[in-house]
Amino acid sequence: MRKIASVQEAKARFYKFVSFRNKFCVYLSLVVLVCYYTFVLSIGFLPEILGYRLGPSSITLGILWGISIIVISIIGTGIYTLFANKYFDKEQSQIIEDLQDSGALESMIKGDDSHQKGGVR
Amino acid sequence: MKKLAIFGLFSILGVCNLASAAGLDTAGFAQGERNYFAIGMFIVFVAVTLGITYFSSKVSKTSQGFYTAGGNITGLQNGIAISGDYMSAASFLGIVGLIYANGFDGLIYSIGFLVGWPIVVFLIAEKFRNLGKYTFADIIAYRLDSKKVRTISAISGLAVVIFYLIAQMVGAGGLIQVLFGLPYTYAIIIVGILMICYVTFGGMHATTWVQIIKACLLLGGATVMVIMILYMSGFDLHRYFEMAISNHAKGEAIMKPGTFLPDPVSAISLGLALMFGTAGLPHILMRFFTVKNAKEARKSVFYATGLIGYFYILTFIIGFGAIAFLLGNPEFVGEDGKSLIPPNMEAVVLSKVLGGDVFLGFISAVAFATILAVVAGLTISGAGAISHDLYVNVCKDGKCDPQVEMRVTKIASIGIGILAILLGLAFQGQNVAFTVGLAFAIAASVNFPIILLCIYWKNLTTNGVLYGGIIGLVTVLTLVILSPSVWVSVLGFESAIFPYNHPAIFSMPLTFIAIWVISRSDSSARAKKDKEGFAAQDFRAQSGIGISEAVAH
Repeated sequence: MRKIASVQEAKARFYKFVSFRNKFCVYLSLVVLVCYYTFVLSIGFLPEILGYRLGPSSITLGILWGISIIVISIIGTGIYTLFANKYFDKEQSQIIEDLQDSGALESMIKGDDSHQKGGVR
Repeated sequence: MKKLAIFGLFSILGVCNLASAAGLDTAGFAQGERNYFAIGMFIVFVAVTLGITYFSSKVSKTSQGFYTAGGNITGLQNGIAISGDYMSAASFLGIVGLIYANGFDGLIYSIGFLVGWPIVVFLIAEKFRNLGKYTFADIIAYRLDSKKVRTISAISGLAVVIFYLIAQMVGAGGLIQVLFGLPYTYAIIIVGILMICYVTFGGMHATTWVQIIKACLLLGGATVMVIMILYMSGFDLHRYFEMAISNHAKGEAIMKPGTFLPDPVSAISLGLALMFGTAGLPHILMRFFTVKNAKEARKSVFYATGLIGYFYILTFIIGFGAIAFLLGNPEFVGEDGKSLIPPNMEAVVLSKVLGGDVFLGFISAVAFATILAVVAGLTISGAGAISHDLYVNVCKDGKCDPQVEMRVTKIASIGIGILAILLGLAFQGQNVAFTVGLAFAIAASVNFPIILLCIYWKNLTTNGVLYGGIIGLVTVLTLVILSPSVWVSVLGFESAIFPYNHPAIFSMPLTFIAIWVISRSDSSARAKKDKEGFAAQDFRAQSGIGISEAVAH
């Protein structure tokens, strides 16, 4: 049996969870942004480096990097979707149950709560 | 509805008659000889999609059904439909053409078009689904003053839709003229009428299925093309790239960044517009309301990203394939070594070389279907902005008889269709290459900052959105008009006042700053209310409690 959490505990758990999830999203976004903008900046400043041939083949670093960014984007969305659908949603529904049991849910829905957190920005 | 079916039939017959009457007077290469397989394929596509429209009309009787297909589309279906909305004829024919001309530089566009998607799923998609109902303005209006913020959101949304439509319509007219031997004017009218039928009678349900069918056809066609290209180069990538390098006038330069983006400012600016523009396109964002919850919204972006990424890899291979197999073929190269293929027709010509007239017909029909699907998606989001945002929520204070709302929606869809036809005719033969870039620049510099700040920034106020949005929109339009692509190429002046074609690097930060400064210095009573509303909005955005439900039908 799960013990019923107090209002403060339930709220704290909710905010902790939300800020963890937001951070997770921001880090993943940064990975994509960094990969992409280093690519864009190299196009602007260092086109020669992107023109390096890889070994004896005619494929250049730029082409490999470009295709990798496409693959990274797909894998990144995949990782997030998997994590969110498998773990985050489950955790969240538990936390929301706690909020409901402790009686904090109503006030959170209405938004009259002193413990306000901005989002990632 | 019967009338619609009969009308549809007539318009199909009309296509045949016109096609046979059009004769050989179109410019270009072999398309003068009509491809009956292409026309047949296209008629089948139109018949099937009009059939779907007929069945969808039952779902689309209410506004909920009309705008969101009842919220019952699955993640996978929506993912395919999003990819269908996003993979326009411009990205297929245009990127292949770009690679054919410049090699590596074409890849810069494909990557930019794709990298917006991870950002959409990480930061926007599920919050969007949790907060919104029909249009992206619903999210902005959640805690802010509905009238003011909906007005600016609807205007900037409509601007994106209209500029995007111009590019699609002019492209469609030109393409159909070349592919089917049909006069430009008729081509534009047929596209316009078909898109009006899909949207007005079938709403989001029909539009979604048109997108799904089109996405499958396009991905299937491109996959077959790539397999043939790889087969012809003996599944040896080295040999394939070597062939391309030896054929192309630029030689090894096609394997690295070239002159397409002349300076770092242009490169970054284009990158910003493509990446964040994706997260601000109203017709794409609207698709998140067709699924039942945040989980399905996430899944749809994952499938969409996978399919779109796969598609761009295919276009890359097709582009280099076109260099390898078309530039090496004396049939397509003039005596001066220049390509004889009309611009953007490389993929279509390559399909003929690879698979003969039947495959050429297939790819032509797919290209046409692609345009139809994209314009239908644009039309429904434009109709949403006019009817749901401007009419119901701004003019009628959100209180409107559902039947009147549906009537306004349908009139708006027809109106946008007619406007698209008129724009297509007005811009015939003009250089409209800048319009897609402009649509993306507006989406990135106006819609995206507003949406992002609205979801995550507590201190955003109504005035910040309204005036910040206006500043952003005016800046983008001014900079684009003064840029070389309009000031010189369209208006014919000698040199541009603003040196860069892509304004996002200036306009996007400016909008963020403007919204921030105005919101911060806003001490009105409304501003206080806006800030107080954040906690409740954030809780719903994060938890999904209270989201607009799917309806059974």
